[in-house]
Amino acid sequence: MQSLDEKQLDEILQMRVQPQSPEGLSERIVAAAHQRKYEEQNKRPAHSVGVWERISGTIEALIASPKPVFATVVFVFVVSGLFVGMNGQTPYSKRSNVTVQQVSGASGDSVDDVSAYVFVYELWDVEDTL
Amino acid sequence: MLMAETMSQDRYSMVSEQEEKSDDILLQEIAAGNAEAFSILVHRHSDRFYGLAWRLTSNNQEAEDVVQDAFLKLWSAPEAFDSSKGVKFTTWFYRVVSNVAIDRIRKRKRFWVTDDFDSHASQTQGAEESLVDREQQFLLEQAIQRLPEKQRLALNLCFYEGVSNKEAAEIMGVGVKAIESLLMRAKAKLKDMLVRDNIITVKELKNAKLG
Repeated sequence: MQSLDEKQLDEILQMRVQPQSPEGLSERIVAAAHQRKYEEQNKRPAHSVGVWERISGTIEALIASPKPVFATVVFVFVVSGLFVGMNGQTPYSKRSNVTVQQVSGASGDSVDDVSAYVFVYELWDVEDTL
Repeated sequence: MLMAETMSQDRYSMVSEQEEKSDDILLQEIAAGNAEAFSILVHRHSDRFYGLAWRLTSNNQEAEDVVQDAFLKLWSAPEAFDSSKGVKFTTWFYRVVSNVAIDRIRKRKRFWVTDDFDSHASQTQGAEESLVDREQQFLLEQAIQRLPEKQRLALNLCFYEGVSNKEAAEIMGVGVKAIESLLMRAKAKLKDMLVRDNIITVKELKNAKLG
């Protein structure tokens, strides 16, 4: 196998291509920096929209609609429906295999107290599962 | 007319003053949000750092992106450069550029020398161009790109960028001895590859010299 000495290797390495910087590179970088600065200045974080701004925006949208009364009624209906849907509790009677003991353990109330609640509110519905 | 000329001269002298400012001064101004200082710094150094980025990536677009990313990092967080540590801006920025380039190379997970090689090869002038054809230059590029990451970076910095071993050690975060060792191993490996793969034979080299 042939071998190269240090000087020969250096000469070969000198033959490597010399990269030429593309025209307008600096200008593009500076423009990108300006663009970034502009975006940062104009970027408004989502949480900066306050609750009152949202409420007033909603009211304005309702007033601006072609049928403001109808739109308001529908809006209230939908929002209240969502509220009830999200916060409503499934009655004990709809839960399968829930015992007074489990409810007592989860709530911290005595078994007698839970039984009393059940008796008062949903006696007929839950008696099958007790 | 006279007033316009005077204003123009004033502006010219202001620009000249800015351009004469040291990197450290410009960086202080950049930290204060001075876009003109940033522009001067970019114009002063982008070619130099593009050279290293291209040598590391062998790709025009990627090299351009690397330099742009590095400068935008500086623009976003100029406080990252701490001149009080006694490090030159260029030394520090070589490190930034090489880190960005290496990140990109690692992401692509495979080695390639693209057709972009031709755009630079065709611009290479001089005796070597007539003696060693572009294919051999391409193969030389491939051989360099096959070197392990640290060896390649050390070779690019010391041999092609003309950075001293001491500065290369600072850029790479290793000792000077380690740089010397990396360079030695890089050259030994290249010798083997060049001869083994018949990329450039001694005979061709002698012919080149005679020519």
